[in-house]
Amino acid sequence: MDLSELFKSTLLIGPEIALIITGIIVMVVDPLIKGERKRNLFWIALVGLAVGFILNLERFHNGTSAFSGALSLDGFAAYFNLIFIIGAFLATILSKDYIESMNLRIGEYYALIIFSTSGMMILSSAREFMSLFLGFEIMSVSVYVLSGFNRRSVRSAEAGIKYLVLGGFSSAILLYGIALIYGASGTIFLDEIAANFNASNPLYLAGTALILTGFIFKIGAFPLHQWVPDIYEGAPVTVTGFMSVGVKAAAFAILLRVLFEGFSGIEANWMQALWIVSAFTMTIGNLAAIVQTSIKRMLAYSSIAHAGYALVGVVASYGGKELGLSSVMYYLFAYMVMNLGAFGVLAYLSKDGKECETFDDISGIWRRKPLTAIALGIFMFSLAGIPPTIGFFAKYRVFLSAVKAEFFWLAIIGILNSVISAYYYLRVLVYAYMREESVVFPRFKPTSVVALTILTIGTLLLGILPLNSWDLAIKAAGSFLLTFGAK
Amino acid sequence: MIVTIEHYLVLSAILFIIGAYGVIIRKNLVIVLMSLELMLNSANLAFVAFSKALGNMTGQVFMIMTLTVAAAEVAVGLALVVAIYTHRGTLDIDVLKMLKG
Repeated sequence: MDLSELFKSTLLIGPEIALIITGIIVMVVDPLIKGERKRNLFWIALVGLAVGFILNLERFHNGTSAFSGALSLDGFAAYFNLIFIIGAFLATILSKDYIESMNLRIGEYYALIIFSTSGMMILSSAREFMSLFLGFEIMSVSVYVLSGFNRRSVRSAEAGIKYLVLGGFSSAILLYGIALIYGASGTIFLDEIAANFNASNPLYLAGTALILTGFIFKIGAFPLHQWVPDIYEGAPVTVTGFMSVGVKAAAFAILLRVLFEGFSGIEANWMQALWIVSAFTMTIGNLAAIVQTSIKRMLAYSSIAHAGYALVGVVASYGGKELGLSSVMYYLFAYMVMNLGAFGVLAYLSKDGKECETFDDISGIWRRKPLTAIALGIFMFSLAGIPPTIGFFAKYRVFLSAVKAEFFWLAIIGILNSVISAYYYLRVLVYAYMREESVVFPRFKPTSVVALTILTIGTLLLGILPLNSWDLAIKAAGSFLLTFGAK
Repeated sequence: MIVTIEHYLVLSAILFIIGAYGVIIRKNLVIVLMSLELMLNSANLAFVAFSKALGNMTGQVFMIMTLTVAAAEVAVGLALVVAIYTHRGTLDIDVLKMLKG
């Protein structure tokens, strides 16, 4: 690869570079300004994310690859980038009031959110293990710091160190798997690995198993889901919202890419393994969510269950089916909208250094703040999968793709699980609408209201009028299948 | 005795298992972080051994990238360990039980 190609490739990754530069600007400017003016860093962060968003749209029209095929800048990556950037944008808006009410440091917070997003974007386009591992770690290390960001809270520090130790453990397993695959095939490019794949070589099988273990950990699926509730509960609530949608979507993006492009030789084997993982993930997430006394922890278990629903779509895209792939992508998009909304309401109700997390903290909200209560209701209906919200249509598409691919039992387990999940989502509403209030709610926060309004309208309208979100998902799945010429 | 690729792989597997054992069993946070490093470095050893055996440089480049990542991870880890120590006055992993439900 000569210098001119390197230069061309660098121009092609405009969205990533826009975010990285924004992150650096935020970090450099932060110590130079004092006091109240630090709040302006918020606007720099938003502008950077908006620029990344606009540059990223270009990739839907003409997908290319950069750096000798190490990064595939196709519609598939562009769709996931859309999820990450919109998620980061709304999480940043929600964070502004939250940071002030919790009295956190401003500068690094926005910079870390942006760096983590850039890592996710590299991850979603990686077609080679070195970019994959680096993207994975850029994303993870930023999120470890964000989890432990509230230094005054011992629970936040505890969440940070737990996430770091367990996340580092899973990264090491992933890295060892990559080493074995490299040793067996002599290359780290996914398409070449698929071409040399030899299922009778134990190095390939051990490597595949270790790599999948690393991804299953990041997704938070059974049997490696125990870290999710602890870390989601301890981390600052806006960070929990951001990582529950961003990190999960990024892990799914790379899981799809590696499974379909790199390990298509043993498709039948991983399909069966993921079938079992998916069924257990949904069931365990939902059953554990029922008995929780903290809303934050309940939403953490619910995010495990949602990872299980999305895995149904992964299993259903077995054999390179467009419908299954696009349903996973759409599901993750829908999950971003509704889950960020649910955590956004919790962030909105936090005040004076105390987070809103138990059922008592939201009881009686209907009497004092009816609009917030309505937004909370819409997000809970959507998470439970009740029409006409986006959550219903996303679930419908995932289960439809499972039925069309003839995974009837998986679809039935999924639907039964949705029914169970309605119990604990609606319990939140019982507290919000029918109980007396026991705490004083915070005053009106204009910035967060903007983000919550966008999310509420999105949850309601995108279900009925998907606009481009569903067509883009189909197009993205098509471009993904084209890159490696699947059936 | 001729040292072959198998010897390196067995050594790296042993180091990986020692590291994993350390992360799971040891009670001191700093030792847990060191065990984590051991796991990452055992993968590095495998990369370098494979690189030599295959006669291709990708593995060595990958190893250098991993070293930078490991350094960043340990820097963050030590910062969080300091945060835990200022709150709790101990590095015992058993104090990490505020988060339970």
